[in-house]
Amino acid sequence: MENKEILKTLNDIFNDIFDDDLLILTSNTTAEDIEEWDSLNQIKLIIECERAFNIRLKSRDINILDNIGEMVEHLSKVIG
Amino acid sequence: MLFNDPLFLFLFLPIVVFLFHLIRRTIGGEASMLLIVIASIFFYGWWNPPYLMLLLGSVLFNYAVTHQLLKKPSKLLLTVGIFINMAILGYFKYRNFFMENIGLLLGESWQFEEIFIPLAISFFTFQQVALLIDAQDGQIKRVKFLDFATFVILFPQLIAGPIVLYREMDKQLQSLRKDGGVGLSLFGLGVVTFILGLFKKVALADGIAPFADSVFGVADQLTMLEAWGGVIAYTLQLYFDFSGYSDMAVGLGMMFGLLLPINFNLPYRATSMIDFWKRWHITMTRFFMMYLYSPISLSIMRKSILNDWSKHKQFLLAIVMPIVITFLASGLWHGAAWTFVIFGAVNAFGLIVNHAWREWKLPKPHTFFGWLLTMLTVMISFVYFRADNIANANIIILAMVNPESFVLPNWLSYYADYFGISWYTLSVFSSGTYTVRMVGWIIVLVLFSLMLKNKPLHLNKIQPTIGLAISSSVMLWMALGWLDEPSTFIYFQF
Amino acid sequence: MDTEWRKFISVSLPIVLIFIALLAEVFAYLLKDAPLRRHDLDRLVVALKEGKSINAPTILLGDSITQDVLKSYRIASTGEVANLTTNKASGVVGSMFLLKRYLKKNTTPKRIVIASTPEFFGHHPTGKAAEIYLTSVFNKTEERSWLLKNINNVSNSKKIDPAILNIENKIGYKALALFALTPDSLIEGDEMPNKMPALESSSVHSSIQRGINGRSNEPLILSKIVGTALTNICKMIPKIDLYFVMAPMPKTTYLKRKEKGEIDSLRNKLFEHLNDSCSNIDFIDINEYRVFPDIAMRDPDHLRRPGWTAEYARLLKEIIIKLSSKNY
Repeated sequence: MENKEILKTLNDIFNDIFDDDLLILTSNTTAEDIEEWDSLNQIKLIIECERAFNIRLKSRDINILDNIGEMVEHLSKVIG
Repeated sequence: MLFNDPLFLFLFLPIVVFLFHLIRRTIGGEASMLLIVIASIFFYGWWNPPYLMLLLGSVLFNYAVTHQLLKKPSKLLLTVGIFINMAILGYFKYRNFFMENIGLLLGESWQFEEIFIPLAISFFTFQQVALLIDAQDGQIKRVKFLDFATFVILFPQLIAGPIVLYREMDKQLQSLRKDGGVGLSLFGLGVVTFILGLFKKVALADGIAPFADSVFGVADQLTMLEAWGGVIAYTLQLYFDFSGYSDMAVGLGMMFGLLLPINFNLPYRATSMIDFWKRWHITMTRFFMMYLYSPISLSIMRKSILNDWSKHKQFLLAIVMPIVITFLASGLWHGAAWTFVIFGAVNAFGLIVNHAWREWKLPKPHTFFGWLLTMLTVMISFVYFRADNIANANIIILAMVNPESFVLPNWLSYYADYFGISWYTLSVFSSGTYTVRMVGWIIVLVLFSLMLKNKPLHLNKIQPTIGLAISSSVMLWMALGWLDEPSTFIYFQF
Repeated sequence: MDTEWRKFISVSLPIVLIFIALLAEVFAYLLKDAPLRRHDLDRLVVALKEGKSINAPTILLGDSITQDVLKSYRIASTGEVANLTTNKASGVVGSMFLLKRYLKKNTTPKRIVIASTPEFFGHHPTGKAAEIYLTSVFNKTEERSWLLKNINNVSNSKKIDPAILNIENKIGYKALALFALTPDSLIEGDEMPNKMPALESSSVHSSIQRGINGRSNEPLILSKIVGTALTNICKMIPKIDLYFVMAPMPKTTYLKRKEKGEIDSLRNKLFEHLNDSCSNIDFIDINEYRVFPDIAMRDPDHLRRPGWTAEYARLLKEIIIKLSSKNY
């Protein structure tokens, strides 16, 4: 799966979880940029990603990512 | 030896920094790492030589386990490794607490001999446990012993954090070994950060401490205003003490060309409990999030989706329960007493309410109101954190809210009589001058806590201007001037 | 390190640090002769030096229990009583120095009244208290040498004391003097109120009660240095009338001491010691006129304000009137 596709799917997931259709993700977006980000939403994010990409994620791997760009990279690696 | 010890400031630190960079330049990065390890061992050993053995033993044991886990991951070995680490921590820090409470349950009152808790045992135990888990996960590829030892024993963060993750240090240490790392490029910023931390701890925290102490020392004699004054004073003291220390740690790391994570981000600007815990003791929150909360919450959440649980059931089991577990654990991590458990519980409660509010999409309160509620919750949890025991904490909180405890001091008797408010001679606000000084300290520190930015991760935002030289110099002189002040000589109380 | 930071660390920061330290020294030097204004004793010393003459017939010495009261209440008409009360920390020794300074600019009084707790006579300050209330206040040559000779623990060493590390004393408190009005008179309270303020009757906190009980068990002594100071006071003014007035004590303490005969014992010690130096001594115990219950105290030594302090002031005023009328 190409990174561009991953980013788009991820964006959709974010729009859904944070209830904000105007939210647009870039490689540089970080947790600080999204006001509603918290531990609970992070869990939901992981679950949705697992569903959407049919993978299994470890929370620790997600915690340590600095921005969306790194997340896309990580997802790409797991998807294979 | 603490960071605010003259021996450290004027002897140990300059010598070690000088030798470090000299060796780095002349012999090489690896040798300079060795110097840091030796210096750190000396630093720790200064406190209590016997427990140095424990620290070194812990490092050797954990290195061996890590090495094996990297060769071949094994759940069993990991479990055993974690268990032994926790058992040692449990023995030193929690044995008496544990046994005394078992005794109480059985109706006995057992007394145990005080066990001397080895300094920093909570920090270096947790740091290494995280590393073991990371090794099992494959987060770390390989570790040299010197790097491992440096990571654990590094004196800037050994005693009081921040809690560093190995992956944060890995690249930096490799770079240091290969070509000397970033060398002196962070040195200036390190000095400035260290001075800020020293000022916060020695001038601000230690300055307001006596006022907080005077209130918490007479819990059963407090009126409403005194209780509030003391609790606010302590809230400020705790922040400046801890963030000061964290700043010093980061500053020291930078003097050696190492970037340690920051621990605070203007926490008293938080407008919600969730926001607060993103800003307070960041590395500890991160640790508990990563290794306790998230794994539990994630696995239960998955189950809840699989089995299609109701929203309420999901919230209770996948969110409330992990939060409670995490915060009771982190409360207890601070100290072996029920007051720390309640500290954790109060915060857990605040967070649960916050999450529930968001989950059920209730209307967002005005920012100011959110800030007020957050600060109140946090301050109440701090009362338990500071009080000698639960009973005293309860008394203090009662004084804060009980209308009957609203009494004016005798030096305001004229106004009190005019408004029909009762007055008598108070224990803490016994004189006008003392009260005014305390209020003055509170106002100044509140302003500082809201405006003095914690050093940002984006380093090039700080420019070495004359203004910075002036503010740093003033802070340094103030800190040095207050350095050997044992406690305020309160001679205006006659 | 990039050049900007290098310049900062090696040039800007050190220069600014040294500059600020030097600036502090300059200020300290400019303020060298300004008096310290840290506490009431400092204020008193300045008032004696700069203020107008008082020439009062009665001099009142004593500790903070009395000084506290006189801040709010007047016990005599203007010019009748010179208020030289201080606190336990500066002690009878401090009172002696104050008296000496007073006499340099004022006429000889007819009588000296020492209104204090009995502990005033058993105590002399050491260490940091001595530094703050004696040596840093009374620093004329003859005063210093007396202190060095008679009190241990008084340091004479001039250690290195850069102004920047001691801003409080070298600049702060002296700068205050510039802004504070020069006191031209001694502390005098307002008129006695027509209606006496209410006497507080709420119970005493447990820690204060403990302190009162502890105080009850402490023996009353006349220390050697205090004895010397008292003798000097008498010698300063030949044929002076000297009156000892025992300030209010909490009932528990008073009864215990009466029981053990401590008050009489102190009285006898004072009389015996001053037999040769003073011609006319008397001893008045306020607690015999009125018993002050434990609830009158805000701490083991001091009275609650404003009611109980007004009560003490009232009694002291009566005593002063009586003593003044005794005379020719």
